[in-house]
Amino acid sequence: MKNLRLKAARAAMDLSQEALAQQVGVSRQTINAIEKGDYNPTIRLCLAICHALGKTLDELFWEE
Amino acid sequence: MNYYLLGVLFGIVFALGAFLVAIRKKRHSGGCKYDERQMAGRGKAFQAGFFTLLIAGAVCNIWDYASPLPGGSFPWNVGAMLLGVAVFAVTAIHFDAYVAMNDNPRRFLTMGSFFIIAMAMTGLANLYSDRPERRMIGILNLSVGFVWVIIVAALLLHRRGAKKEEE
Repeated sequence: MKNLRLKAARAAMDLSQEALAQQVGVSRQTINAIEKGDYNPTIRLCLAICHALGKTLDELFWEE
Repeated sequence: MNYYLLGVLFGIVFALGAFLVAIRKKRHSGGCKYDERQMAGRGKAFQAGFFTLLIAGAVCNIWDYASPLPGGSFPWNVGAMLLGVAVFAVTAIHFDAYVAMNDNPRRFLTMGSFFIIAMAMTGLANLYSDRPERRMIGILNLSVGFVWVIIVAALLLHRRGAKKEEE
C-alpha cells in the first residue's frame, strides 16, 4: 500500500527523495520503495525518517 | 618484446592499480556502503547465485561422468561459476544492490566497458593463437567478457527504468 502520508510530509518540507535519503543514510530508491509501498522499513529507519521530517511514527506509518 | 612478457607486465600493473584503488577507497570512504534494503537484496542475490552455481556445477560433473564433456570438465565448471556470478549480479541489480551508495554508477559502467574490451581483445588474441593450448584460455576470456556484457547491460536497463520512475 502506498505511503502517501510520507510523501506529503516530505513535500511539505520541500525535500526531494534524494535529500531525505541523504539525511537518513539510505539510497533514493529505498525512499521511493517505501513511498510506493514496495518495502517495509525497519523500525530504526522509520524512526530516522520521523526525526528528519519532524513527525511521529503514528503520523507517518500507522495504518487504520 | 615478447607478447607473453608484455601481457604479464600489463597484468601486474593492472593488479597493482586495483590494489591501490582498493586501499585508497578503504581509507577514505570506509568501503562499499549499502542500506538495509540493499543488504536484504544482496542476501537474496547471493542465495540465487550460490544455488545456480551449485546446480550448474552438479549438472556439468554428472554429465561429464556419464559421457566426457568436450575439453574436459574444468572449463565447464568455470562456466558454471561464471553463470553463478552473472545470476548474482543481475539479481542484485534488480534489487538496486549491486552498486554501493557511495559508488559512482557512471564510473562503474566506464570501468566495466573497459574490462569488456580488454577481455574481448585478450580472448580473441588467445583464440587465434598459433598455440592450440591457448584456445581454451581464449574461450574463458571471452566468457568472462560476456558476463561483464550482461552486468553492464543489466545496469544500463535498470538505470533507464529508474529514471522513468516518478519522484
